[in-house]
Amino acid sequence: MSTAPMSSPLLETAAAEPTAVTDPHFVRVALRSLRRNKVAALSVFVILVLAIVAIFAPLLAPHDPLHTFPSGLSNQGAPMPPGGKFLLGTDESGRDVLSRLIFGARVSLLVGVIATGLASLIGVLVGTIAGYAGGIIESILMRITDVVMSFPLLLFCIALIAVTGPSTRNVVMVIAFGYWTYLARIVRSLVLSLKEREFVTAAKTLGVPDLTILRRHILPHLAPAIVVYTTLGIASSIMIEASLSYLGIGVPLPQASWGQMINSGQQYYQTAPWLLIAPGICLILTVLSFNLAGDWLTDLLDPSDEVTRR
Amino acid sequence: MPDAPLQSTGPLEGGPVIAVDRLSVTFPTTGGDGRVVRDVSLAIGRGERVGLVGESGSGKSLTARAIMRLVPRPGEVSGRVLLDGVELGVGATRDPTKWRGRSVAMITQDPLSSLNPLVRIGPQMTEMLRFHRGAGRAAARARATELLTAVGIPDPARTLNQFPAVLSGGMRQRVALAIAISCDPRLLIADEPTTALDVTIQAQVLSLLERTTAEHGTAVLLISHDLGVVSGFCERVIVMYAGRIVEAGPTEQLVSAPAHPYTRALLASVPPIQGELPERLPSIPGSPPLGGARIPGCAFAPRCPIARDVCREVEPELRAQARDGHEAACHAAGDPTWEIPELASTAEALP
Repeated sequence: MSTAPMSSPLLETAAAEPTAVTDPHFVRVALRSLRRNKVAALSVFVILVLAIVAIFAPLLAPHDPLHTFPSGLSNQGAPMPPGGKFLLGTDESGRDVLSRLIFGARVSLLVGVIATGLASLIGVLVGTIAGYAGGIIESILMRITDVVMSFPLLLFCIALIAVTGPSTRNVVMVIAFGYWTYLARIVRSLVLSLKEREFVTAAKTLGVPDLTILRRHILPHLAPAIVVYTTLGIASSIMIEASLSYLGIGVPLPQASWGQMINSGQQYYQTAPWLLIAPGICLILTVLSFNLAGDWLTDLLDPSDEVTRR
Repeated sequence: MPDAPLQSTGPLEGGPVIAVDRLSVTFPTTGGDGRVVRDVSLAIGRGERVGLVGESGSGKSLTARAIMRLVPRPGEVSGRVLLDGVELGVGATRDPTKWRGRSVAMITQDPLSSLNPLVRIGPQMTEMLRFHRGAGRAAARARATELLTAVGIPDPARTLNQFPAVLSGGMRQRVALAIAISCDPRLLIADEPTTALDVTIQAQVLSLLERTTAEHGTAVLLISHDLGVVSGFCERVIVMYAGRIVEAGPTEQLVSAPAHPYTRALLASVPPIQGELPERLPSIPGSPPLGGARIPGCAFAPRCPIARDVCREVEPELRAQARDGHEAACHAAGDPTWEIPELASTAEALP
């Protein structure tokens, strides 16, 4: 359906340029895609709600999450079931489960976002330097990456926590330290192909310094991959945080965290199942949402296709 | 040939802008010596336009890359490149950002891929102005607008805010040219700048290239496989075959009286503009030796219609011919004892 009798092949390829985060119409494209993809829309919605809950936790929580209510325990000293004053019941110490869940969202999201953010920062830095510099620098950086990668992530985190001692800060650091390797590898391979692209050579012939080339000509092309892997990374980080807390070496008591709520709730699962179900559902929903949102972003940004295009 | 005011043919006035001295590029290979560019020496004067022709794999692009010091690893470069008498890559010019773009600029074949698809035209143009000239944001933008106007882009202010994808191929090559000349380089290397364009746009871009470089006396090294393009644009032509210069000389002489059989064959295979098209265009039988393969004697001998035993044994030196500035690397050149078959279309084949 060409209207022009002599349409050049150049003009045709021009129409199929990559959708990237730097595209000025990106938000519009994303919103349109969300309208078509209900699952993705739902997961983005869940993430947004979670973020709002985490940010405004003190305003939203009906009670103090750390306060042990004398009325929160039955005469036999058992947790109170959901209903009445305590919407989701109380735990074995008489604390409000809903309030703890709300504050737990704060911990989970904070740990997930900060740990993944740090991991992405390290990963992108290492990957870019290794890919662009090549030679001995690349070998050294990538062998370090391989070594860190060869440990099972959770065991690696447990071992590190055992050394550093459990605290929220340490949990963040440990997850970041274990997780950066994945992005480092992906970024390196992307940079390897990007630096052979014609516009990088063109920039070099114009005497543009390497740092400017990296910032202006390479980083924007990495953005899709970074966004996708960071989103997926948040899901993994939240899982690791929950696992560490479940094992009692994560976020220390009495601060609320979903993993640790599941841990302390499991012994009452016959008499007070809400202690297990409530944080469990929260965790599943959150991790699932981040994973689904990550998948959606993968399709939307199509980072692999973007780079292999030529 | 139009007589440009800055024309300087033949012996160079006031020293060459760029002098290349026995430049070789070697790639490690299992067979052969891996020298894909062999002892290329050339000099280009101020404002001079020189063409470098040869078929694919003849080493012409690699010569350009070697001048720019952009030969990809594991390639190795030997020989010297002097810019205004200063050797590049040594001492003060060790940092390539000191002279790339500022003194020597390059435009590449494909304007589609030489512009970053994710960056607007404006920042791509201003980044080197700001870096090389230390220009402020507003000043660089003003200069970019000026440059776009100079290369004939109708709405420069709007174009600066657009992504390369919106522009046509010709427009993009204009932008690439505008970027290349933005710092008034002494030498502009144009590596097949018109190959990706259709013929009408090709002519426009070439005349633009001629005009913009003549204004500042920028020397041009035009790399092409198209003798037609080169002979219309350049004052001197250098022909490369299998990594070596086989013939060099003023365009008119090289076209009217080629000394090397390879040049003759190249000229014969250009379709004539006037008169009947032959049933089949003459072509050169066989194919060039693989890059870096070591052949005793002349590399063209296996395909040469007049080759004798000496050609297969002794590699001919690049020797000066009867007329000034004309050189050829052929045993037969200038030797009346060799019979040279008449070729049908040579000089009249070209515009």
